[in-house]
Amino acid sequence: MAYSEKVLDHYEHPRNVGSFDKADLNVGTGMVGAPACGDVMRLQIKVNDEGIIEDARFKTYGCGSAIASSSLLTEWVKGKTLEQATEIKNTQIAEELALPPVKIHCSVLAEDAIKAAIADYMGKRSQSEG
Amino acid sequence: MNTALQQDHFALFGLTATFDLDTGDLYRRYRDLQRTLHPDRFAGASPQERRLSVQMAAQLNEAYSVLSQPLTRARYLLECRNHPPQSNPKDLDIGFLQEQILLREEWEDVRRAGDQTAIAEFQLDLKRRIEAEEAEFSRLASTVGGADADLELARQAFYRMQFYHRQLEDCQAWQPAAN
Repeated sequence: MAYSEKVLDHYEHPRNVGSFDKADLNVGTGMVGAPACGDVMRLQIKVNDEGIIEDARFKTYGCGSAIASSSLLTEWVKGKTLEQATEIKNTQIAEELALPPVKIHCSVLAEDAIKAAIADYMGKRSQSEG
Repeated sequence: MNTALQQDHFALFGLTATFDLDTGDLYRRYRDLQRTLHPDRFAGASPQERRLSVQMAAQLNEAYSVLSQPLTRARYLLECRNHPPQSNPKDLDIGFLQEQILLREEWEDVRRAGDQTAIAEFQLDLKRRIEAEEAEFSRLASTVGGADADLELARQAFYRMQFYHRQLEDCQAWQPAAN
């Protein structure tokens, strides 16, 4: 199956690959996986005191569509509030990357990852305040 | 013969539904059943009977291919016991996923270094991990009418098996670039 140009671009030049210190209170880490494909995705956000996502990093092992979905998402969430980031839907990712139906689940994985990262960040915050 | 089409894969072979099975015995049962369905035996049969024998042969092949491999057998058992595996499960263990990333990084290092002994050792380690998960799955999901909590844990063991299998496939598919 041929990948779209946008998928290839992200696959060949992934944005924001890497990691933050997951113990950092300003960092939220989301880890998700798709066992049948063997895909693993780690997505991290760094949130400033105003609740804005300043920076994002990812590390994904999987197919081109999974890598492109997470790469695109790290670009999208930068500068967004946590609420705005929560509203990102997998269908927007799939549309932007022109993913074929059999690869839609890769964009679902990315949406799950950002939700998990936000939940991790909120969990850490409420723990440190409480 | 009419009833066989509704039977589950295990019953088709006259076996109890369980993860631990003797694949040699399964093969012998498969071969014997296959013989009884050979088209030559239906040369003088009615078109309806012939069609049914073809359907049954197809079901037999499907059942054998599912039950002969531990991974597909485990999936089938989970489906039969109302805990079908999900494609994007939300309840994967974070520690396990972190370990997956580490294993993938380790494989990249091993592959880059190109040491054949280390490459073989890495794959052997994956096979041991798969065997350990199979043992765990067997312990949790072999009894009929097992507790829901056990089946839930069995499903997690199945997910780990799937991850290790995929990684092993990737390792086996990898060929060093020709210089």
